[in-house]
Amino acid sequence: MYPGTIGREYVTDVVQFVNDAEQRWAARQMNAVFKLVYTGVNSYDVNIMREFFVSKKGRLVDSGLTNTFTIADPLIPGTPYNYCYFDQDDFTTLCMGAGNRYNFVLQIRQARS
Amino acid sequence: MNYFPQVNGNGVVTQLPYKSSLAYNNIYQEMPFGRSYSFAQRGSGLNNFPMTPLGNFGVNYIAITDAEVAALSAFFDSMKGRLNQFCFLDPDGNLVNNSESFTATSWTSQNTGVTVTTNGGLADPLGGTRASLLTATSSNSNYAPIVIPGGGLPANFVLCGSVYCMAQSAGQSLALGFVDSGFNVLGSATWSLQQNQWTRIYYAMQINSASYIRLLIGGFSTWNMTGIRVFGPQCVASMGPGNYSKSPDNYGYHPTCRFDTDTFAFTKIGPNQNSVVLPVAEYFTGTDTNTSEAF
Repeated sequence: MYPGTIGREYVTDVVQFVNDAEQRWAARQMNAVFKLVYTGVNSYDVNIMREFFVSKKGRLVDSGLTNTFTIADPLIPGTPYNYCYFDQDDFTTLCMGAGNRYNFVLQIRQARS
Repeated sequence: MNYFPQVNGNGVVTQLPYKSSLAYNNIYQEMPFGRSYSFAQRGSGLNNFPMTPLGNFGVNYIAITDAEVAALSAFFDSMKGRLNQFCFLDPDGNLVNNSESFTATSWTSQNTGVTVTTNGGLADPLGGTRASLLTATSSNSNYAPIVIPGGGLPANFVLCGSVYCMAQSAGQSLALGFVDSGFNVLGSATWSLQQNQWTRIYYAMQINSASYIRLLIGGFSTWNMTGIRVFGPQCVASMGPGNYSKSPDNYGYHPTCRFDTDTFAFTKIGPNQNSVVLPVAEYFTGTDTNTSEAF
């Protein structure tokens, strides 16, 4: 839902020498980051998202990446991002007054590309 | 056992907006080579740690009377702020555990003559495929899942049970109510069901029993050797059935909670009108109460 945030993140290591020269190198490839905002969601759909979050055990990233998941790029249909995990340990819902709808936010990162 | 109070005879535990949270505790690090690394502190099956995430609740009253504030204040004083432990029945959770798995122990151990013909996978009333088909094998078949395992509810505590039902044939009905540990009926109602049409039946009452409490689905010769499609059995500490919440992911029974503040303060917003916010946090006490129900 809007406003969702889709980003890309690099990790660049930098060593600075005494003459201000620098050496830089890529510590890893680009990974995707997402901030998915849900507003006015009904309880049935909240149940589905909560069930999925619980199955992934929050921000747990196991060594074999077996509890990661794939998310499709919301902007570019057909572009999947593999090895994603939740970048949060809590699943928090806010039940609003109007029609008992829920708001919640999910932050997702990619462990490797 | 101490229970977080309902502030009036209608069984209000919170007003909206209401924040409900479940949380894991993972130690997380970004490694120098760019790979994320984490390991679980709880919720992942470690010995002597909780098996499930712990709850955190933002109980919120935007407008309650002076008498209702006094009731909350008295309870807060009895808990001495963050010191003492109480049971919090999440009004947004579901006190019926394993609400979409009728083959779970919480259902099979409380089953009197009901056969699970299809456990999930059938079209449900909310657009998915999570309904089940349950068939009675005797005239008095029923389920009676335990919804308040600890018992000892305060007097006049309000509970509401509900379930979505669809009759498979004409003339079917289903009873819904509450029974105690001795199977004494505390209250019930019988609903006529429409053939091939979903109906959410519910029953609310003020409980006056020190026993542990079960939700009764069926009985009174209502199920009567027939099949009924069922979805979303639920019990909440409220006068109405509320939004359906799937358990155990959002199990509503949290017996080891404390206030997450030592300060009780309320805002006067008008004559006999007050607002109060009370954070409640679930603690781990060495026993995983979310999975160790007294069945």
